[in-house]
Amino acid sequence: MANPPDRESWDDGDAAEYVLGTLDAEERRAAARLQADDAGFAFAVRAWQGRLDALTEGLVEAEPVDPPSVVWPAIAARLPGGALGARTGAADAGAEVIELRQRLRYWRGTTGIAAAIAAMLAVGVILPRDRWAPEGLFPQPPAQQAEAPSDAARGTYVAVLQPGGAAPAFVAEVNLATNSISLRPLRPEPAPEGRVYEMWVVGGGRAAPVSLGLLAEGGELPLDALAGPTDGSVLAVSVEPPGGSPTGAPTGDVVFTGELIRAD
Amino acid sequence: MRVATDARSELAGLLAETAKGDQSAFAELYRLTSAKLYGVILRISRRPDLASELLQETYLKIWSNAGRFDPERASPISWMAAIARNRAIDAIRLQSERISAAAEELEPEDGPGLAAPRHGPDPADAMSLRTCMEGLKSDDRRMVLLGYLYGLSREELGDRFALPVNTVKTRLRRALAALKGCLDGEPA
Repeated sequence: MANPPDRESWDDGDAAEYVLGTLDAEERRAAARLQADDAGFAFAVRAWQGRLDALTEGLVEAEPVDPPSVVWPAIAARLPGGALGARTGAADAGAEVIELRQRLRYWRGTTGIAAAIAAMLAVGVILPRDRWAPEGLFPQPPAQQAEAPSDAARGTYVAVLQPGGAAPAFVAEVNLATNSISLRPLRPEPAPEGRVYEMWVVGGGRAAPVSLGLLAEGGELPLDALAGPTDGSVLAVSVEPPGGSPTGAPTGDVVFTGELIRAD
Repeated sequence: MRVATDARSELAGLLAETAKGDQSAFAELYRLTSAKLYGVILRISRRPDLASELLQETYLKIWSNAGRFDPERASPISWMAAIARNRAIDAIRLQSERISAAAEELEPEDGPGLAAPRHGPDPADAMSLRTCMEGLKSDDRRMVLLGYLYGLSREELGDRFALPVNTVKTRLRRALAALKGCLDGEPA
């Protein structure tokens, strides 16, 4: 695709290799641009997609693999209205979740707000205190005194953990400055008799779920395992035998999930 | 073919509802198709650590582009798989280096691409592609299949076939041009 800068030239082989997937990175970027800008190239690409379509059919039938159970909640959370919670008539709690999300988006787009302030607002403003279900199951986390964080460590993430389609159960706040996760119980269901809740982080480039600890041990978890949380990471809570998963991976049902959203 | 046809029209219906913003139809679409697309992404990307994220992005794109699906031009599952495949190839070509190992056990001669065409949206299409693929030189056919089904780059193909990258390019284009002539011209 060597050509004058104002107009890229192409031949049908470029379109064919674009569909085949064998172009190198630079050529592939150029082809994507052409597809958007040049109707003729876009047409040639569609024609090649049609020619090779029968191969796609074989590809999808070859080796289906069930994706991890947390993928769908993560997708649903990114649909308009935060999806699951908003659709189920979980009325007031659902509305709180939506409002929380909207405010988080606003804060994400706002510069100059200190992480500690954003974190305080994220939990304090949106979720009325009387909803924090002050039963003994999950002790209230101590008020956080964020010591002046280093710039590198600054950052707060929030996840609203909810069972599929029902009201939120917890708000988890990940504070990189204090290296901790705080859990605010909203309407937690106690773990089944003789079982415990274990929290995991998945996605965000991790190969497998990483345990963050047992919820029954307190309202605050150390953050050691949560290296580099990113948008796209999901917190999940599974039901495990006493002492936690014996295998290092979730063994019981995943009962709550929530996407980590940057709050500052 | 009845089962395949029913499944196809069900997916097409779910895509149409999804295009109108129906999230429960989209959830059902995910339930019915996610294992297939996840398999595609794993196979192409060979990056289990990225596959969940790529699957998320794939379905979000399906959600936003569902209105562009044209049942006259593609089957629902191959339209969706093309999005998954494209996303996975973007990820491995544009974003990261990939462990280039898995190609050893592949036997594309018997690969899924040349499986019996009963899965195809239109058996005649699958049959004619199969026929045209069989008309290619053996190595050329394998290059096309390894590229399409396993996401191998020219460089990886060059390693595999002990050929310079430019030769791989030349042969790929020759093979693709021959395929085009066969598919678009008289049926063989």
